Amino acid sequence: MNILLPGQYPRSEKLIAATRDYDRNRISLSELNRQIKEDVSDFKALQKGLPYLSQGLFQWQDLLRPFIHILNGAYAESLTRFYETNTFWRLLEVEGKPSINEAKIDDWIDTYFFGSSSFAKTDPMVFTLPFLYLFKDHSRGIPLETIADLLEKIAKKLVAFPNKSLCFFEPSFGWRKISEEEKKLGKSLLEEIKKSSDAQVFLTTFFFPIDSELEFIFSLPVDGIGIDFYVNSTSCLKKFPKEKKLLAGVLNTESTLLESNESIRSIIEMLRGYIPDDKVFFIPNGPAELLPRDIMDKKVKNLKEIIV
Amino acid sequence: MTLAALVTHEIGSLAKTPWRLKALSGAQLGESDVREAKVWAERLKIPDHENLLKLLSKGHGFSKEEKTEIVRYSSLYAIRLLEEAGLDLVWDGEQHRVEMYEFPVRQMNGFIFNGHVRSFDNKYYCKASCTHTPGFEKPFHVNEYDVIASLAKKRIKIPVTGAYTIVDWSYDEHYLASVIPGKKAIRESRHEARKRFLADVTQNVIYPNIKALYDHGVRYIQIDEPAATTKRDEIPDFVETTRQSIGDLAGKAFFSIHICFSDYERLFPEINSLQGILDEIHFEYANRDTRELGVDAKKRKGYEILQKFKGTSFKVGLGVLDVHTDFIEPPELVRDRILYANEIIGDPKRLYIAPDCGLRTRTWEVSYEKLKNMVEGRNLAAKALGL
Repeated sequence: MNILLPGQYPRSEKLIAATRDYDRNRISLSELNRQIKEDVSDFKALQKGLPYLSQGLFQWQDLLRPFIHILNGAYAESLTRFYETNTFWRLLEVEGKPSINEAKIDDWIDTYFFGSSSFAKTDPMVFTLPFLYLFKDHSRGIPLETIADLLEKIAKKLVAFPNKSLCFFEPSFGWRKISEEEKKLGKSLLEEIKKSSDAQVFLTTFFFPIDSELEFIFSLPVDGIGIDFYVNSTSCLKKFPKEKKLLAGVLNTESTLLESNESIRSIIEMLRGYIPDDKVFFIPNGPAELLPRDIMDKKVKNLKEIIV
Repeated sequence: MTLAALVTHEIGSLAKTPWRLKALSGAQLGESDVREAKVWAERLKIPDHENLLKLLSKGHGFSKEEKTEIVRYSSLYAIRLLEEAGLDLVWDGEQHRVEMYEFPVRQMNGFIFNGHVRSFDNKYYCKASCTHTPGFEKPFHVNEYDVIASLAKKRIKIPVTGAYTIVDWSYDEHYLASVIPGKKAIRESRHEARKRFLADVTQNVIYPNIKALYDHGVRYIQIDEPAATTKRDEIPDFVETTRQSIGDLAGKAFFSIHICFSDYERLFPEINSLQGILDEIHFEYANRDTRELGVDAKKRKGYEILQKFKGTSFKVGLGVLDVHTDFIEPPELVRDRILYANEIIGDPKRLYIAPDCGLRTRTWEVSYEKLKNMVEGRNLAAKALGL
C-alpha cells in the first residue's frame, strides 16, 4: 500500500499571500517564484518515500487554464462551478475554429510541468491531466475530437519521459451520462497513449457514485482506477479487474479531521476482500487543494504513519 | 415595504479602501492613503471628512475606538458611493464584515478556522470547520444595521448569509466524525449528517438572527445563498432551510434571496414552493450574457432562465453587471437587458435591478462607473417603457 498525491496540491498560506501581493503589484515576479519554489520543495519533502512524486501544480489556477496557450484563439473568462464544490474555474472558450498550436507543446510542457519545480526530468513523477469529459464540461466551443487530439499529443510526450506516470482526473463519471460516442473516444484516447509507452496511466473519478458506469470504467485500458470511497462503498469492487491498481480515495477533502487509525484500518480490511495490498494507492477523495495546505500535509503524514 | 418599478440596488460587497484595511490590520498608512480618502470624500460629499483625514494622518497604532470610527467612516463612504450612483436601496457593502462567510462564522460558536482555500483564480477564502453544535451569543447584524441606519439617506437592506451556504462552505468535523470510508450505505450516512448540520445552523443561528433584525425594524432582508445549487441532490434541503430561516416572518418583511454562478435549472420546480414566503429571487445573468446590444434571445443568451419565472409570483432580481470584469457596461446594454427581461416577465414592478453579485473584486472607480451606468440604463429602460 502506498500514497499518491496527483493534481493541484494546496498552496501554502505564504504562497496564497504572495500571489495576492503579486497581483496587486506589491512584490516582484522573482519574489513570487521564490515562494513557489519553497512550496514545491516542501511538497517534495512531504512525498519522500512515495513511488511517484507530484509537482503540486502550484502555478496552475485550474486544470484547464494552461491550455489557453496551446489552443489557438482560446480564452478563459466566464466563471463556472467546478462540479459540486465552492471552487470556480473559468470556462475555456475558443473564438472561431479551434486548432492546436503544436509548435508550442514542448515549451508548454517545460513551463507547466517542469517550470519552477525542483524535479529532474528523470525523477519518478506522476503528471496530472484533465480527462476528456471534465475538459468538455468546463469548456465551450471545442469539439470533443479536438480535445482528444490535444490530450493525446500532450500525454504521449509526458509518458515518453523516463520514470513517469500519468493520472487523468475525471469527475464527470456519475455526474452526468456519458454518451456511447464519448465513451468510444475516451477509450480510444487511452489506447493510443498506452500503445506509445509502458508508463503507468491512471484515471481517477471523484465526488460521485459511479455504480452506473462501473463496467465501462473497469474496461478502460489504464493501469489504475481511482474511486472516491466517501460516496462509493467497497462493494463496487466486486468486479474490479485483477490486473489493475486501485487509487482509493480515503483522505477526506470535505473534513479537516485527520482520518482515524480505526477508519483507515477499517477500509484496509474492506479492500483486502477485493484487492491485494500491493495494488492499492491511497489518494485524496477529491482534488487535494480543497483543503488548506497545513491540514492536507497533516493528513498525508498521518496516513503515512498508519499504513507503514 | 412598497417599492416602485425597476428598483435598483447593490447585491453585496464593495472593495474595502486601503486606509480602512491598513488601519485595521496595523499596517502603516501612507500619504497616498490619506489623499485617496480626501479625493473620495470630495467626490462623494462626505460630511466632516476632515476629522477622518486628521485621524488617518496618525499613520498607525490606532486605538480600538479609533478603529471603530474608521469603520464607521468606511461605512459612510460606501453608503454614499451607492447613493451618489443613484441606487434606490443601499447598505454599506460589507464594511463591517471581513466577508460574507468569515464574518458570520466568527460570530458563531462551534466553528474554528483552519486556513485558506481557493474560490477562483488567485482568490481564496478562509474556511472554517464545524467542531461542535453551532450556536451564537448575541445577534450579529443588529449593531451594523444601527450604524448604517444612522448614516443612510435612502432605504436600507441588510444581507444575511444563509444557512445552506454556511454549511456548504464549511468543513464538517462534528456531524461527519463517525463516517467510515467505503462502508455500506456511505451516501445515506453522509446525507443524514448533512441534514443535521443544516437544521442546527438554521434553527440555532440564522432564524434567530433574522428575527432579531426584524424586531429591530429591518424590513428588507436579503438571504445570500450562493451555494444553493451546489449539490443537486440537496435542492429540497436548501428549500426547506430557506423556509425555516424565514419561518413566521413571511409576509411581514421583504425577503430576497441571492444566488450566483450556479446551475439555476436545478432549483426548479422545488423553489416555487417558496412563493408567498420569499419575495424576490436574484440570480447572476450578465456573466453569461453577450455584450452586444439588442433585445432578442440570441443577444440576451444569459437571461434564458427568466422563462422559469413566468407564472410565478416572485419578483425577479436581475443581474445586469458582470462583477468579474472591469468592462463598464454602457447604459444602453443595461437598458436592453432590462427590456428583454420585461418582455418575458411582463411587469416592470417585478424587476429589481442589480449587479450579478458583490463588487468587492473591482476598484471603487470601476464599481462607481458600473453602478452609475446601471442606474442610467434603468432610466433609459423606464423611459422606453413609458414609466
